[in-house]
Amino acid sequence: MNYTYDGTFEGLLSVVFTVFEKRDSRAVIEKKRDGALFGGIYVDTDISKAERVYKKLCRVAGQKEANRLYTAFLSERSGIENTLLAYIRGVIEEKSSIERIYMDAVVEVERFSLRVVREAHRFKGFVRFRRLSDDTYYAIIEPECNVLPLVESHFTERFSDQNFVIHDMGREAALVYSKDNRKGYIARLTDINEELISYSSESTLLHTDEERYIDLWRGYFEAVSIEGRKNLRCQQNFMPKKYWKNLTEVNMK
Amino acid sequence: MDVMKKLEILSDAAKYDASCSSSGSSRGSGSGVGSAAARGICHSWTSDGRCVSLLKILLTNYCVYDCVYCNNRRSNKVERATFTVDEIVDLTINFYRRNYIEGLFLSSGIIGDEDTTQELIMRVVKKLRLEYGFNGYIHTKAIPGASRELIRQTGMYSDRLSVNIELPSEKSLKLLAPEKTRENILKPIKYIGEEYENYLVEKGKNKKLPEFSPAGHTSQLIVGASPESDHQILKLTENLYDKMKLKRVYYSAYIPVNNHENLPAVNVKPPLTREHRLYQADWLLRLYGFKAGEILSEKDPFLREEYDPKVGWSLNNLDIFPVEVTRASYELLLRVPGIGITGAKRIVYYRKNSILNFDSLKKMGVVLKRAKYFITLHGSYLDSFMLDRDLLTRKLSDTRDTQLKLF
Repeated sequence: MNYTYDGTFEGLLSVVFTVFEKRDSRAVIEKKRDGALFGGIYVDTDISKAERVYKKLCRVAGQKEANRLYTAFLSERSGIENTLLAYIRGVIEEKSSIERIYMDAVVEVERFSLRVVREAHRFKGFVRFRRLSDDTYYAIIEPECNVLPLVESHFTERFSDQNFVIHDMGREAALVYSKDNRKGYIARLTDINEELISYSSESTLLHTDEERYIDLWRGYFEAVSIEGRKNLRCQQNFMPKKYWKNLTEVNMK
Repeated sequence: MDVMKKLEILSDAAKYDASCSSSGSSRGSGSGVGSAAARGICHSWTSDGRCVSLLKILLTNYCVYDCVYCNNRRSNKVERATFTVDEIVDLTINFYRRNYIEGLFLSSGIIGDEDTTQELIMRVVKKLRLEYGFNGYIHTKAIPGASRELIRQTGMYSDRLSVNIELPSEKSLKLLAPEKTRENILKPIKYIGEEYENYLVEKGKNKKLPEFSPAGHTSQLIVGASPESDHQILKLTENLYDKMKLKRVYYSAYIPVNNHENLPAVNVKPPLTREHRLYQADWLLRLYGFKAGEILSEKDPFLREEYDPKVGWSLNNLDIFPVEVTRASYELLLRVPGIGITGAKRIVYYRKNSILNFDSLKKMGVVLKRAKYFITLHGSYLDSFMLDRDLLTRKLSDTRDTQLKLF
């Protein structure tokens, strides 16, 4: 049987609950797309069902493994739902941990999870804020994986005394933090708010200080490179070109 | 002079300091701005492939000393600049708020005298921490010759302190930095080691104890400006780790900046491969349980360019191989080329309950291409061959230049 869900992790776990309930051994899960021909049963997201599945996973496999499922999910790879389902089947059927290490699904989950965690760690460094005239610090990111949920606490803790927005362009989502109520949340661009859309448009005014610090940062970046040790391949190994567009020091626009 | 110009001069002059590490401290933001992440975070990479994590600058490049290897020696005709305390604080805070950096790395030439310089450094860190509530990472220099109290206060507001050893021996110091003495350089290192250890001990008893350089202290020495062997350098390093409780020693391949009879000529290329091999040997000392005397000896005092120091050690100790993976101790596994810390740990963990095969070793992160010559699994090799020194030397040498260029 084919199933669709709303694209959230809780939604996926709700499908998993249904699959187990129906003892459906040939389930295929896909994210629901508007106007898609894929005919499947749409399963409504049910937080209490999702929680039951997650708690069971924690109990059987441990918190760490359960969390790994979540991070692998954030990779948003096509087909990841079915890999996760296979993994969960393995866990629930209580294979010993030694046998499971060789299961393909486990290897894949580990691989994708690692990819997401690594990219999230990278983006703790790759976010570049611009200070706007209303004193908000605004940054655009375009990561491959959905890293915002994983960097949220890092940024809200670090910059707890400034208003900031980290805008994931590709996903039309943003981490929005306000220093007044000291709270951050991840918003979908469609739900909110003209304010956010105006940040990303060109009409937004930069703070009068901003150009100066951009210049200083670029000047610093140039000055610390050592000509005698030039190694562009090494640079791009650590900082792949795909990220350069939003990095102030290497994108001169 | 405007800040832009100063930044150019004083970051250019600071860039030869190799450390960019921002790890080792963990701190929440409390009421001010910033936090320190235990893992360290890189924010960018320069075109020479080094990570940019900290705003790495000199307070001034004026210097009363005339060390012949240094670009800032007082007799050099270079453009000079000095930051004010406020300028450094402003740059740090504003770069930090834009997420350009993890924090500040502040070093300096000696302006006036040692105490004056140390006091300026201390005022910067104090202002950042106390007035601006800055919780980001701060690495500062302790100036040899400055008073103990000033160094102690600097350490209270820094995550990491360092003193550069500069050159590996007293003799080279005499030749290249005649105004500095080894004793003077080692004194603050020893003192910081004491304070740091004291801090670690007392911290457990008293939660409100002021911090002292919680990410430990480090040092750096220049490789290739003077004739010391790798053996001498590793012996020195080992001493610094064991006796002075250093967290890390950094090696900086000497880049010729001055013409002097006691120095390599200006057109000599920096010994980057040697630097890289020294770092590999350093890992063996810190994390793999090797002693300097095992890696090199007075008779055989240099690391090979062609292969890494662990391969070098195993070629000299072929009689202990092959190692049986199912039984060997963790420490012995670590000595096998191609098995790292993760690999060794996984082997020890998984072999308890399951039957290993070569494929599973690969999955655990063992590099069979190298390890296969040195291990047996249930009594048998992966391929058949001889433990022959010449053959292994050929097989395990880095022939691809590109691999070295990465570092």
